[in-house]
This record gives sequence, C-alpha cells and structure tokens, in this order.
Amino acid sequence: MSDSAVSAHFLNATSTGELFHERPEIGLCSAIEQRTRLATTRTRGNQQGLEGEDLITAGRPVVMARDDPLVTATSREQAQVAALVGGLFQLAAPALPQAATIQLRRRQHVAYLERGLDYMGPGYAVLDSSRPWLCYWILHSLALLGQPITPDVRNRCIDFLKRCQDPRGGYGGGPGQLPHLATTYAAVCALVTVGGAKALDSIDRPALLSFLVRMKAAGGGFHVHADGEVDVRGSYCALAVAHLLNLTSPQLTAGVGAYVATCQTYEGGIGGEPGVEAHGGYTFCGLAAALLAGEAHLVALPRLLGWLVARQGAAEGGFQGRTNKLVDGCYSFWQGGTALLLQRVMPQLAAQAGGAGRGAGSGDQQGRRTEAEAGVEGLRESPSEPGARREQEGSSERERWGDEESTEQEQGRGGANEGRSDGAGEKNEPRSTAGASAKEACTEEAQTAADESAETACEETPGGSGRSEREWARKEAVQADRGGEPDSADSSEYETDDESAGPGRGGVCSAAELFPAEPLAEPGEGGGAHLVIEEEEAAGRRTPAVRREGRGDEAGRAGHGGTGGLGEALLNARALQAYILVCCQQADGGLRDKPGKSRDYYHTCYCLSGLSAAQRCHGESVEALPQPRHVLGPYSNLLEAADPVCNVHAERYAEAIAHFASRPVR
Amino acid sequence: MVRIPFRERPEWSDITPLEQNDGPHPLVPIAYSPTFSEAMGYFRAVLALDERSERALALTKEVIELNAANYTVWQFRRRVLAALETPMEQELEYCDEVAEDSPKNYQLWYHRRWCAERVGASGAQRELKFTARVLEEDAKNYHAWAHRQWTLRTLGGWEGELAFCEQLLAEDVRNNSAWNQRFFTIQTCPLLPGLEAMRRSEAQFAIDRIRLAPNNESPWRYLRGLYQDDIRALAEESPVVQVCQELLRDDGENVQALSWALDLAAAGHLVPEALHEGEPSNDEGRGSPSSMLEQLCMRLETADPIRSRYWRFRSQQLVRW
Repeated sequence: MSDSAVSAHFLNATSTGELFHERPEIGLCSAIEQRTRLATTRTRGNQQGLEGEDLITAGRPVVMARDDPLVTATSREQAQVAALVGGLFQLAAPALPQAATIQLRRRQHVAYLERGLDYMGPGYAVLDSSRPWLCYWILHSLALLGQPITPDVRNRCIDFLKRCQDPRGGYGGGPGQLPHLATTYAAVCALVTVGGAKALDSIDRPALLSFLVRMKAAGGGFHVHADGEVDVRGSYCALAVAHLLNLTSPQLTAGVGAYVATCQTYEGGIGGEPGVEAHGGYTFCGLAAALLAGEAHLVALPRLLGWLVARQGAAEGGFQGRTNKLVDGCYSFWQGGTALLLQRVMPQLAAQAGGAGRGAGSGDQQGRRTEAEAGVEGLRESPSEPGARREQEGSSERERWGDEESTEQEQGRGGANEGRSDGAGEKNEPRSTAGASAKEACTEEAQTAADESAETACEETPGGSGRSEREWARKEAVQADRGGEPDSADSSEYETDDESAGPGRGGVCSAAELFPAEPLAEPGEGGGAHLVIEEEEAAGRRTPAVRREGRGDEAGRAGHGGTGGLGEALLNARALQAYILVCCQQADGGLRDKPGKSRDYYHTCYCLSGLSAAQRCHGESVEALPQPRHVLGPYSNLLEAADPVCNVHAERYAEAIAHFASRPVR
Repeated sequence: MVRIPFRERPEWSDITPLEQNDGPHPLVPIAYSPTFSEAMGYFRAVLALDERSERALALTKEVIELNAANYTVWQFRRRVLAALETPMEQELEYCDEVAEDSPKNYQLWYHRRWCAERVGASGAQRELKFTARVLEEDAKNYHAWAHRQWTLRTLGGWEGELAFCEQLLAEDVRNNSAWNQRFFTIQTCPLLPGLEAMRRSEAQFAIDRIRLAPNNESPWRYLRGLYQDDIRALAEESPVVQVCQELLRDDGENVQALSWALDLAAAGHLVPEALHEGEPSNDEGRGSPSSMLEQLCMRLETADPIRSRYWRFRSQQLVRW
C-alpha cells in the first residue's frame, strides 16, 4: 500500500477515526505493529537527513532500560519507537536546558493548513463524509496559531456548512448527507471558531435541538446518527454542541454521567462502550460529557487520574492511547486534555480519594457525593438554571500574548532548515508528505552524528537480566552522548553539564530525563490542588464558584465551561511539549502521529491542541499568560488558549456563549 | 476488470445523476476523481428516490468501495436490505470482504452488528471466528474486541472465551486488550461464578504473568481491578505483598511494585523492601506512617521521573490524612 493511502485513508471522521482515529489503514498507533511500516516507508530521495526510518531500518530490536527480558510483539514495537524518539531527542539535547532551537514551525504549519482550505487532492475522497471535520481541524489549528480568519474564509465556511446542515437539524459529513453528531460537533466548532453573528446565526438551533433529542438513546447514551451506533463520542458531541449553543436541558443531560461511569473500566480510563478497553479518546469524551452534564462525581476520578498519568511515556514524553500501545501525537490532546479537565475537578477528586480509604488508585465507585462535589458541579450550568453563569463570562479578562509573536527569533540553528521547505508548489495531496523530515528542531550538522549515535543505540541487545540491561543502556548512553555532540560552531553555547543534565542519565535518551517536570508546589505555596468552594450571589441566584485559597480575585473564578480554577497539573507538560515539537513536526509544515508517519490535518489539530494545553496548564487558567519556563523553547512557541471542554479558541468560545446567552430556544 | 461508467450502463439509463451542492467557493473542496463523482451522483439520485431495489444495493456496494466511511450509504443499504429481505448470511459474507480492506471502519462494524443481530444466536460462532481472524492480524483492533464483546453479550458463545484470552496472552503477555477481555469475561460470562468468586484464582493467574515480565503494567492493573481497589482484601487473599517484596529485592526501581507498595502501605500493609532498596529491615527508624508514605513517594519520584508530579501529589494527599 502506498503512502498516499496511509494518509488518505485516515480517519473518516464521522466514521472511522472520528474524534480519535482508528484508521482503517494505519490503525490507531498500530501501524508499526503490523507491518513495521517505519522500516519500509523510507522515501528514497529524502535528502533531509535523519528520518525516523533510518534509525530502525536495520530492524534490530532495542531493549529499553525498564523493559523486562521477555520480548513480545508489544515490547519489540515499543523498543523501536523509543529508539526512534530517543534518537531525535539526542539531537535536541545539546540545546538544553534553554531549548532555544526547539521551535514551533509556525510559518510552515500555517502554509500547510491554508492550502488545505482551498484544495484537497482526490485521495481525500475517503474523508468525503468528514468535511466539517476538515474545516474544524484546519480552522482550529489556525486559530491556535493566532492566524486571523479572513472574511473570505469566514464566508465560505458559513456558506459551505449551511449546505451540510440538514433541514431537520444537525450537520452531515457533506452536502446532502445524513446529519451525524460528530460532524455536527465539528461544524458548530468550526462556526464558533470563525466567529461573528453571521456564522453563529447560520445554525438552525431549534432544529439542532430536536436532532439532539432524537439521537438520545435509552440509558444515557446518544446514537451518532439515526439508527447509528451508541457510544461515548455521541454523548460528548451532543452535550458540547448543546453547551456552546445554550441548548442544554435536563432532557439531554439525563443519565449521561451514569452512562459514562458504566464505560469506565477496571483500569480507570473510559472505553467506547461498557466493557470495552479504556482508551484516550473515549476517556476525554467521557469525562468532558460527564462534566457537561454536571456529573463528574459519578466517574471514579482518582482511578482515572492514576490510569491517565501512566499513559505518558517515560521515553517519549508523549501519550499512548491505551495501556501497552505506542505513543501517538494525537493523544497529546485526548490524554493531555483529560489531564486539564481533571485539574478542574480537583476538589471532587480529592474528596473521592479521601473518602475511599486512602488508596490513590482507589476511587469512590459508588459516586458518593460530598459538599465539595456538589459545589463544583455547580460550576456547570444547572440544567434548570440556564444562563446562571453567563454574566461571568462576558466580563472575564483575557490577556493577549499576540505581541510576543512578533519577537519570534529565528535562531541560527533553526534557521538552517528554512531553505529546505519544498512545500511551495506542493499540491495538497496526502502522498506529498511522505518524505518530510523529522529533524526540524535540530541542526543539520547534528544529523550525521545523531544518526550514528542512534545507530549505536540500536546495536546491541543484551539478553541478560533487567539489571544488566540497565548497565548496558547506561554504557550506550555515554557513547550516544559522545556521538550526539554536534560539532557546529555554536555548540558550546548549548553544552550541558554531564553531571546534571546529560542525556540518558537513566540509561537512554528519554524524555523523562531530558525534560524533567517542574516540582509540584507544596500546599500553601499557592498550588492549585487545594481549592475552596465559595458560594456567591450572582444574578439573583446562588452560583457556586471555585477560588484559590488566598486569592479572592476574579481571575481565580472558574468560568462555566470555559476557563479558570485550574488545580495543579499532574502530567509532565515539558516532556509532552518536547514530544510534539521534536517528534511530531514536519519540516514543511503539519504535524503527525510519530516520526516516520505522514502529517495530516487530524494530527495537526490535535498535536497543536495538546501543545496549547501543555503550555497553559500551569496557570490559574488556560487563558492566563504562562510563565516563560512553562513554554518549552522560545516564548514565541506559545499557542493561543482553547476552552478545555469544547476545544475551541477561548475567545471565540466566550463570544459564542455570550451570543447565545440571551437567545434561549425553548 | 474494466469499469464501465454508470452513464454507459443500460440498466441506469433512466436515472439522472444528482450533482453535489457544494456552492461556488466551498471550503476544503475535494478534487474528486471522475469515477467518484459519477458514482456519488447516481447514489444521490437513488437516495432521493428512495429506491430499494437490487440495483440500488449493487450501487451502494460500488460507492462503499470508493469511500467505506460514508455512513449515509451504509444506512441506505440497510434500508434496502430490509426491503429486499436479503439473507443476512449473504450480507455477512460481504462484510467479510470489506473488512479485508477496512478493518478499522466504524460503519462496517456497526453494519456487521446489525446483520448478526438479525441472524441471532446461531450466528455467534461465525462472529467469534471472524473477530478471531481479525485479531490474528492485529491483536489490539479496538473494533474487533468491541464486536466480540457485543457478540458474547447478545448472541452468546462464551464457552471458549477464557481459553481464547489465555491463548492471546500466551502469545503476548503485554496485550492489554486481551487482559481487558479476560476481565470482561470474568465479570460478565453467565457460565462463570463471577468476579468475587474468581478473584483469588485470577489473582494467581495475574501474578504468574507478572513474574514473566515484572514491568508489564497490564497484569498489575488487572490485579487491582479484580479487587475493585480493596487493597486490604487483596493483600490478605493473595501473595501480592510477597511478590512485591521479591521483585523489589531484585530490582529496587520496579515502578509497578513500588506503586503497589505505596497502596499497600496506605492500606496498612508494609513492604519493607520498598523503603530500603534490596535489603529487608525492621520497622525502626522509619518514623511515622506518614513519613513512610512520603518516603515511598519520594522513591517513586526518582524511579519514575516522568510522573514525579503525580507521585508528589499522592504524597501530599496521603500525608494530609
């Protein structure tokens, strides 16, 4: 199968991959598993140096430090990917800790995205039932990049999506197609993203509401389309749309939390249906749906947290979707975004952990409610009191970072790649992306050296015990270190102290070692893990609000579906950013699953969404300007903020909420 | 085989294809191939007529070949199938074909459910065999596992399921989907006595596999799931404390064992090896229980640095009580 098929067959969003692609052709993260695609997709004529494939072409298994001697299909594939990623980190390592050369390739991403708005090659016919998704992925990516939406694009978006709107409500995958909840979510989010009254008013909300009601299934789930399957995606898409358009009602939310709870597995994550394996995409949808229904307390949150943090790869820094699967850039959002949601329900989480006999892995399976839970639940619109929180939203201050953008530094080393982008005359065909380089963040000079070192890292596979493997790995790391040292003139600038920051101290060039998480704030240091619940009078009704202890300011107030009131981030956000920036960017624009895979719009959207979340998870809200140390690389890497629940640009989100607040549909 | 355009096929001469109404300047326009455009044009026309005929059925097949993700086509196909009373066995054979090319297509699997449901219990074995075949190609295919669970729940066929899981785990003990299926089976299978009755033997099953690859997260999670987080009962009923001790003696940085030591300690079961790497010790000098928990968390922060913030958070949570 050709590469074009790989890219093209991906994610028929209303269908296959939807929110979180199970691709027909390359499968979630399983491409490598099946056919060791990485080793075979190497593109001849790829002159751009290090490509993932190079590192494992020889197919030698690599055993990571923490792996057990027993080799199975899972461990073999994992070792290959870890080596691949380790090789790329090796290249980035000399630039640490400043990481100044780890740059977001804005210009290239924007170019790639804008091309897609105007032209999709014939290969994209497999996404013909996902066109609102294409709109959303591209427009949301552009919004995160701070790229203004032109009037022309706005008008075309409005006009085109109108043609996808069904007279009886909801949006289909294209003009004349059946309305589907996933494409309805995508279409509404796209319209919210382009913004403005014309876009928002193009949505037939009374019809949409009747569509949502028609899709509601017995038992709290939603059919994704008439006579279609019922799963957690449906619940999320329905409630997110209802929330954005002020259509939330008890009729829609009834039973959703309980349904999501039945989809939470023994592992702690959430599956697509009751009994099915815990999965990152469904976990985000499930928790977000429960939040939107005001029933996050029905999910066992401490168990969810325990499962979630375990999905971040120590070697990769990025997330896997399921236990013992491979890392994939898209889970930067599905898992990283879930982490952000959990930060907003910390009091509930703490209450459950406290009530369930101290096991952190434990959780309150009965969904026992506490005062704290009830309080936070109030953060979500009480179904019977629509609009209760809306007053808050309009007034919330939003800081701009746009000025920073102009300071984008083109570091010498990053700049070395500039001339190479061959995207200019590129037709926007899926196949055109196959050979793009994996080395964007790194210097050309370092390529050869790193190639060699990575080669070395692949070389021996000790068959001994776990302990001897670690010794081996340490030894290898020293060699790799030497090999990886760039001989470029400015390398001294980035020299690292072997004792403190040398890559691979633990045995391999792992994200955990290279990009250590910042220490967690201790209680009393202003950490957000300890929140107090306050109730205040607002608009004549009691509106519970969360404030940080000792900070009674407005910024600490939790918005409804929007911003604010973040507890401590419990993932390693630096390592996640590193995975996205070092391993997922293509030199000529677009982001991807992992090195060796081709870019696509789905991955571009969710890698960038994950990056924004990772950059902004340490503040009081995602909208607050993060401290420079929380943004990996130059500060110009900072992306715009998105609403963590609906995943649309935060300002556009606020605009939509405000727009519909005074326009109830009943 | 050379494909004849619809407009040249006599049986379609009465149909005027319907163009897609994309508007003058659509966003994300797709440069459809002529084949694609034409087939979709005929499909739109037939859909508008709601023509439930053999030729409509054949048309949906052609359109699905061009884009298997078109849920509108699949839904229409079901309407036609119902009208024609097509035997479902025949339709399942068609599903087998499509699965060859698109094993991860939502529509296909949903369609398959629809067909299998109409066949009823007599079709259980066929569905189990089919999913087994797909799982041979990709042992973690999410749709295949979901379909398998649906089949067992709806049509039955539970007899061989535990053995099936065991076989897949023998092939790859890290296959978390197979662990999940085993849990599902223990929990749901009407032929088995249920989770609580089986948890001792299942704990042993998991522990045996933990010994094969002590860093493999899957059986550790399975173990926790069996006891629904009742760590105390687990410690009393299974040799988990002993296993942690052994593993930590061998490898003081085994994160799985350390994290269990933390949960065990929080539940009142001390694993001394977790505090002093590699050597057994007595309780002296270890300080209060809370400082002990803190020490454990600190060891986890070191052994599992990517999750250092989480372990610190756990420490804060545990110490507060």
